Amino acid sequence: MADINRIKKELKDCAKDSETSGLEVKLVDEANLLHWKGAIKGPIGTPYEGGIFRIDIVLPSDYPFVPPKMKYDTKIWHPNISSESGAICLDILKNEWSPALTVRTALISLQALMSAPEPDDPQDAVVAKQYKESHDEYCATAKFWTETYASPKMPGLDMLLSMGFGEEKAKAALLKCDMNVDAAMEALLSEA
Amino acid sequence: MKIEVKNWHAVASWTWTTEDDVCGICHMPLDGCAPGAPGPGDDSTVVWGRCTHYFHLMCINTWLHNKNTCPICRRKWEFASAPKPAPATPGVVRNRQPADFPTEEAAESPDA
Repeated sequence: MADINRIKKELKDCAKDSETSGLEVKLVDEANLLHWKGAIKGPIGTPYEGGIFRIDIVLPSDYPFVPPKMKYDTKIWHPNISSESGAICLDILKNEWSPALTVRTALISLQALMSAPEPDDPQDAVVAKQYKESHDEYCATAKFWTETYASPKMPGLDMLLSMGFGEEKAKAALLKCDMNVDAAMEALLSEA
Repeated sequence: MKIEVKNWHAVASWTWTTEDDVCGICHMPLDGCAPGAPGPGDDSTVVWGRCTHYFHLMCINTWLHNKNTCPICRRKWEFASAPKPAPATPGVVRNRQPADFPTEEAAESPDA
């Protein structure tokens, strides 16, 4: 049986300093305390800078005695994260987990992993090889993936802005229409 | 007016002698309830390790089934007796050292 009191406390603690920590978490469904979504900012000075990386977090029923299950929802080019599935290779999410750790500290560890990849313990062999053998290429690809997949800017937003719609309204319309630009434009036009 | 004391009941309050007030595993107050415990106090006993870290007995026991290490410092877990109260020196906070935490066996052996 998962420790509900601890989980509620953890959620509250994460919300406290989300402004300064660069971390954010929320429940997928208010009724299910075991499924969270997290978001971490790409560390400054890395190819991930400027990106927001979304993490899927599932707490197993015997949490905190076993680690939370985490994977990247946002595609990322990193030696220790699968470029296909978002699976993470990080010791504290496996054998080195301790119940004194929390979802928050695990997300901080992910931020640290993004700053300091471990190519000798890879999850994605192709990325790890590139990281070791042609570092500039790795940086360029990682940066391109950050801009393409992790940019907090929404695709199509620029176009709507250039048509003269207000930013808030345009963003809301895009979200409502599942990022479909044409549908969002129609919605905005019918509103006007 | 004179009174005569026929009997009296002493009442004492107590708390665990720890410097932090929550369990490192369940994050609940040490003088509160461990998860699943019927109540606080004797039903949610606090135990110390030789490494000076402390948890609810129920919490650390569940973890020790997985791994025999302290969740905080990862040293091998050895149960220790509660620390001797720190000497009362006003204004001086001394960090407890492992030597202050005799292991259970050592604590039970008669003083030489």
